[in-house]
Amino acid sequence: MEAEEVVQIRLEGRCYPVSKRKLLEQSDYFRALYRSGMREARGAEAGGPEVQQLRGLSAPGLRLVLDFIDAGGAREDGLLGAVPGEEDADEAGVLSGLVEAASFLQVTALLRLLLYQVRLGNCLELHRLAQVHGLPDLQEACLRFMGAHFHQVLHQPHFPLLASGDPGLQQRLREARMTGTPVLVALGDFLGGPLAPHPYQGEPPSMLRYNETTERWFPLASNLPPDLVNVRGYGAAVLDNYLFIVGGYRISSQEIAAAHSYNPSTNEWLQVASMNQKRSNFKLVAVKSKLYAIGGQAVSNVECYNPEQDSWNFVAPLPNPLAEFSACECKGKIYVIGGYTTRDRNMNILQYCPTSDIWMLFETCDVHIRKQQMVSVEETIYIVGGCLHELGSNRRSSQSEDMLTVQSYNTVTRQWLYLKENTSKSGLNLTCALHNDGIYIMSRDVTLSTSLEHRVFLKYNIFSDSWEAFRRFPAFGHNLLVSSLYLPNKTET
Amino acid sequence: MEESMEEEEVLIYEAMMDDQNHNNWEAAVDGFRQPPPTPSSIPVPACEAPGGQLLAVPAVSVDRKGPKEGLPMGSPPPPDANGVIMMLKGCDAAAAVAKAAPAPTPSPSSAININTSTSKFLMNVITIEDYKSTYWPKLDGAIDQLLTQSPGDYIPISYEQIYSCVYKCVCQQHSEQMYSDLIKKITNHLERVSKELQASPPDLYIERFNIALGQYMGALQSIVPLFIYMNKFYIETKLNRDLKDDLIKLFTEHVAEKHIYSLMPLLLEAQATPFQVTPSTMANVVKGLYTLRPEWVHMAPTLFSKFIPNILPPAMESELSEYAAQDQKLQRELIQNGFTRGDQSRKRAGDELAYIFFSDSSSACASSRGYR
Repeated sequence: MEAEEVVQIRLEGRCYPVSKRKLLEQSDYFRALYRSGMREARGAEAGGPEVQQLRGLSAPGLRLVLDFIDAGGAREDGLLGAVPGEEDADEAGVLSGLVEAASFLQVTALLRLLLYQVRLGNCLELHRLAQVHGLPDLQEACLRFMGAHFHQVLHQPHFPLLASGDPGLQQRLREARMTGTPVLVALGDFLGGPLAPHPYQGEPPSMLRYNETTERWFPLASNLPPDLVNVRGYGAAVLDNYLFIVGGYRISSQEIAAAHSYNPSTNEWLQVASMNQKRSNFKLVAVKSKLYAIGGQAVSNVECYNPEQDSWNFVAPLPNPLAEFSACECKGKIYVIGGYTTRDRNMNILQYCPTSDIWMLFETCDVHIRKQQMVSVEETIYIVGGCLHELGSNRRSSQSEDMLTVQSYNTVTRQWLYLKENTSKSGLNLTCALHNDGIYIMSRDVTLSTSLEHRVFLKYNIFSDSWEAFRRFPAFGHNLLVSSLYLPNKTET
Repeated sequence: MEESMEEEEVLIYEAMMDDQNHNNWEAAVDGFRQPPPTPSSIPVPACEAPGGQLLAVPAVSVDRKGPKEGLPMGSPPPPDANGVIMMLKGCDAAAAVAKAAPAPTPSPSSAININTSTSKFLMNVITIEDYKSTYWPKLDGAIDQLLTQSPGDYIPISYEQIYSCVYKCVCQQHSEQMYSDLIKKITNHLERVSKELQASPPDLYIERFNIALGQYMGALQSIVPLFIYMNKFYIETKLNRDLKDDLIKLFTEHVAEKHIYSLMPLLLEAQATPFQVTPSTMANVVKGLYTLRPEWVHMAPTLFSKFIPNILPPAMESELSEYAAQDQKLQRELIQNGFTRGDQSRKRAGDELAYIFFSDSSSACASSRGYR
């Protein structure tokens, strides 16, 4: 049996022997070289081994590629295992050497293998390399990974440097996060027991998702992190398709400053930087890729969370501490409406501009509202629920105080519209979310005065100005939060 | 003697390949970077990071080495081992490294990350001016040589050199320009070929067309592999086309289409007159035309059917007697032309003829390098 033909690959004065057959199998470069009929295609000089000179590649990168070729292109889980750990400054260099050698020699099998090697530590570098070498599949894989781990990628130390060379990158990643199916998700301390919706047994899930076609709730294969269980009065907001749960108080009544985010792309909770100020019964609002934690129990300061730095910073405070107020984003500004100041009813609509970091009095209104929820569509703010009190009016205030209403306020025309009411439902302690074409509203509360139980799950359709009630309420429980998130398509069954 | 001539040619060529942009400098740096391996030493993997290696190239190291670095395996010296060129390169390279070295920054960790990941290949930014003044002329020269040499000739050009040049241009975003330059260049060449053909006398026309076709297809055998990087990472992915198809199409449009109407009558005439044109030429030209544009079969189905299997409609049982009559007619004609059937001693010669006519693969024709 004849020995296999061996080619010496020469780089920087060193030779690496490789089987010629395997080279031809794995490398399009060598296949084309031998086909080209050019100088190097002649093969070995009489008596000597065949030498193929390469230039410009990095030796460690070439060695990894040749090892791969020598292994016959077999799947090697340790492909990047040979690359030193993430903290090693050389990793990027070795990685780039590997990608370059694999691209230059066109070792397609190895390039394909790289698609499964994308990690937090290398995704930015791999993405850059994929762009340089024109590897659309790898670029796509990196974008998918970075989209799924967007905030973690954002605060990679070298992100700003790499992103500066690719100004559209952040925007593309943000768009990549907004794909999938918009799904209504409910969080809460759901109670188990015989009335719990089937089919789950054992520990009741704390996260549910709603299937609109079957009108049923299903558990999400993730639960609230243990330190969020039994936390009330937290702030919640969706930023870049992450659901943030921030602050609040424990049953034992201590306020907390911790912040967590749920990432639907990975179905994971992450603890992020805590606020500087412990606060509860405040509002968390997402504006222009940042979060704002506004006020709280006897607190007037405002903090801003920047996912790029994973840190909170104080910005301009509210003029007064407010209680039972609400806030939402509208056209890049924050609007605060209703509630009480330390002395009086708050009749002012406050507007905060993140760019100039200034709070200003937007308008004073003649209806007092408190404990409402607010969402916005374009320039219109929808005010859902809450207690209304028209000053100087002789309306039967006792009635209007406890019913579910929807009003709108147009921030351009400054016009109020009383849209819809539902007198049989309570407008207090509800949670709502903008989802598809309507505002989905949910509440489950026992009013102490009447010991009547309110179980509400309905939708206000903002286009047809009509109510739509749903039969299935998720579960018995309290501390509910409803939210609309894009879930990856594969988990939608 | 011949060997050394060749080597010199190569050296001149390599010298020409260098440029003021130090495009070749990494080769020279490679030469200086490490101490010469002792012939017995087993290759030891180098472990430094590329960036580290680059920074570790001091100008002093130039005199540490002789100009010729012996290959441990005892092969002939590589063409770049030209002392003078290497010396110059070494200096330039050191200068280039100094120029490219990053300014120290307060946060070195991130800066180093970026720097080490910049490959030696792509270290120097290739501006469009660099591309025009340096890189394209190099490719241009190589393509010229490939287009004008005869198929089967020894090609003194280094695949690795030209491929690297293409690779760099692609990675530095010059694919579009390079692709358009390549197409323009080959179009110009083919227009010239077409004009030359037009000036051919009729008796040489078929032969010259055959040579032009063979030469071009031969050249593509080398040109296409040289540009595979551009093909894979630009033409296939961005344009959804294939370089080889594009280049063959150019021949169709700029040569074959312009000559098909003068060529076809000559081919038919030659077919009727045995050995006016050598059978291999006929086969090449007809098969070539078929490859370029299968619809041309309709201009002369019988002619094409002699060289390409299965292009005529399948034989019908009802027409068997007609086929027999045709065969008899052909045999009569052969006899009239001096081919008798009785002489068994000529059988072997007849076999040869049959081989040339009826072997179906394009590789059967020695002078052609195949079109696929």
